Formats: sequence, structure tokens, C-alpha cells
Amino acid sequence: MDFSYISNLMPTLLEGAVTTTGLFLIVILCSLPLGFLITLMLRSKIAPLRWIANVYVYILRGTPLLLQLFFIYFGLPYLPVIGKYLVFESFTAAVIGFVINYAAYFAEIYRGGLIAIPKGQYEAAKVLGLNKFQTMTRIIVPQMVRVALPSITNESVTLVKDTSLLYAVAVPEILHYAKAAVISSANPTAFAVAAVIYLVMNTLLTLLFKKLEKKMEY
Amino acid sequence: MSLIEVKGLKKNFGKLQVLKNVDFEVNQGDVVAVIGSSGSGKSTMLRCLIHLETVDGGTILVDGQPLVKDGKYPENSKIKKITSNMGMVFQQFNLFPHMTVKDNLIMPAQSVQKMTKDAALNRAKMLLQKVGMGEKLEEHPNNLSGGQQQRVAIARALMMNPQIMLFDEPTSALDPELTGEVLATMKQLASEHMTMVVVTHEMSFARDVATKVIFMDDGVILEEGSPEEIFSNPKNQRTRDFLKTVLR
Repeated sequence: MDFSYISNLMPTLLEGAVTTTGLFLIVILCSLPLGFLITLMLRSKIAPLRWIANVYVYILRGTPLLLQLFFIYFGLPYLPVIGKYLVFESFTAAVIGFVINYAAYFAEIYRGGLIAIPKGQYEAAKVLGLNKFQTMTRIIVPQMVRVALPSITNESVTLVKDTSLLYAVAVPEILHYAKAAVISSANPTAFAVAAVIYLVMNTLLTLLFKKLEKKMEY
Repeated sequence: MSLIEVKGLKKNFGKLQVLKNVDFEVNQGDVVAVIGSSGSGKSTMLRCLIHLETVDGGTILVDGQPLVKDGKYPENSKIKKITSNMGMVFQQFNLFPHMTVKDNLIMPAQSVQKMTKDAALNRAKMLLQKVGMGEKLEEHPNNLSGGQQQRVAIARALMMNPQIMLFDEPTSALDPELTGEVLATMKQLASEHMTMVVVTHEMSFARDVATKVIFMDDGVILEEGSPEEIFSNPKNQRTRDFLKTVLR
């Protein structure tokens, strides 16, 4: 093992890791709340809202993320009339694609969490006089998050790995730099280093979520 | 004047008539025990009183105010005002599991009644003391026995200062050795002249604590009267049959 070779690799790979982390944070922060909005639509009394949400989840969960990214980045600009307003920079296109894709998954996870809450919780809130908003924010959502947390952890770990799809829309990230290094120096070490970086990120993430789960235990 | 007045109450679940023309009255300070076999409509009747079920016909007056009149409900704010006169205790306790005992009591008081935190906490402590749970302020419900949870649930309902307490089979989910502590708490409430409507299978409570017993069967009230009348001298054959099976 040549450590000076690895330390020479590190600056570019870490630069890629910054991009990866940036995308991860933006996507988590946007898709978690957007997913909840879609869950509310899935359960809405207004039928058209329900239909829209169902179609949304159906399409985004049923087609490859890579196709969705390609469609947003390469496809949208060719749409007639509105296409010229839909030309995005590659990173922006990726953010849009990831957010709407992950929101669909989170919506389904939340829905499962809501189903797990007994009817008696709503009834207790009602007879105590809590309004719908108070019931949702104080009683239902905290219990839903508790139920959903392990699945959210899973999805987040998948998201860290999925960031490598940035490669396909030409945003330089870890994998891009690793591949460039491997080819230019005919040495596969960079792939191993990239793998370690992903592992470290996911280990930290999992620890963080475990801590959160512990905190929410009751 | 009676505190609750129910006239011609009807409720269907689909094609099934669960309540067919139920009439009764509850006076200030009454402890009404509602007895009858499962499926007789007694829980549904209780749930109608606090608007957990919407009726299909009839009138419910609470302290003279119509919760529903001839099957027609007033606007939501009015319904809410009327039902806020009542507290409810459920078979499954329905405490909020993610909150401590203390927060189960003070959160609704702060959110709904806009009580200050100090006032709510003082009242919570007083009520938990009263139900014998003064030591469990910081516990989560899952760490309590069923009997303890139910006593906390009673204290939580009392937080809102209701005029009437409704109990929906409060001891049915409890192990037999835990029913006593809950019944004792209810007995204490009765001795303080709280107006109570209790759907129950505890015949000892109906006989010893209630001031009035209602026997329901197949969606109607078949017989009502003082505990002595119902238990010693039931007039209806169905009442006699029912009592024979449960008192055996």
C-alpha cells in the first residue's frame, strides 16, 4: 500500500464528498417535509388531491431514479413551448430529481406510521377538546415519526449511495474523481478509498439516527 | 332540570340499527350505570353523548343546550362548547404514549383551556394525588400497569373540569386484580357528587355505587330504575335472563 499515493488522492475525493454531502443534506431537508405533505394529500378528504398524490407516488416509485434524473436534465428542455424555461444546471436538476423521488418514498413511510396509530389516540384528543392542528402536531406526528424512524434511516442510507447517480448527469462527485484516478494511474486503489468514504458517511448517519431513536423511545 | 336529556336517539351502522329510539335522563349528581350484553348499543349510546358518533335521529340536550336536535347538529363551535362539559374515560385508556404522565395532563389544559403552565401543573399534581398517582408524574404510560394508566386517564379527563364524566367500560381491559383500584377511584368521584354515566360489566359497581341503572338490549332501553329495583326485582324477562348469567 502506498500511503503517499492515497494522500494525493484525498483532496479530489474529499471535494467529491463535499458535493455528495451537500446534495444529501438538501435532499433530506426538502424531501422529508414534502413527503409529509404528500402523505396528507394521500389521506385527504378531497378526492382529486388523493388521486394526484397516488399517481405521483405510483410514478416516482415505479420508475428508475436514473430515468427521472435523465428526464429532468436531458429531457425537459426539449418539451414544446415550456421546454426553454426548464433548462437546469446539472446539480439543480439532480436536486429536483432526488427531492421529488425521495419525497414519494417518505410519503409511503409516513403513511405506514400513521396507520400504526390507534384510533383511540384521535378520540382521546377529540374529547379533550384539541383541534385538528393540535391533534396532528402534538399527538399524531410525534408518534408517527417514532414508528417511521427506522425506515427513514434505511432510506437515508440508500440516499447516500444514490448520490453516486450524480455521475450520470455530469456532476463531479466521489465516484467521478475515483474513476478518473483509477483510469489515469491504472491503479484501483481509488475505488477502495471511495468505498471507505461512503462507509464512513453511512456509519456516522446510522449512529446519528440510532441516537435519535433512543431519544424518542417511550 | 336534568343535566342530560336524550330523546328518540337513533343510530345506524350501515343497515344495522344499533340504537332504536333511546330515551333517558341524567340528573345532577346521578351515577348512571348502563348494563347489557355486548352489542346492545350501550357503548355507542355513550359515544353519541360526546359526539364520537354522529346520530341518525333524535335529540340530546346537555345542560339544556342541544348537542343535536331532531337529528340536526348545530355548527361545530357550538358542538365543541357543549361536549367540553363532559370528560370521557375509555376502555383502552388512550393515554398519549409519547408523553409523560404529567404532560398527558397539562398539554391539553394548556392547549385547550389556555391555562398557564404553573396553574396546569398545580392542578395536575392535585388530581394525580387524588387518584393515587402523585408519585408517577415523570413516568411514561407504558411503564404503568393498566390500573395505573386508567387512573391517570381519569385524572386527565378531570383536568378539563367537566360537569359530567362518561366511562366506557373502564375496567374491561384490566386484569381482575387491577379493577378494584379503578373502581375505588370512581367510587370516590361518585361520593363527591360528580355526575357520571358508566357503561360497565361490573355488576357490583352498578349495584353498590350507581344511583340509577339502565338495562339496554338490542338498541333499546328495556328497563331502568334504582339498583334495588333492577337487581332485586327486575320486571323484564330479558333483564332477569341477563342478570342471571352475569351474577352467576
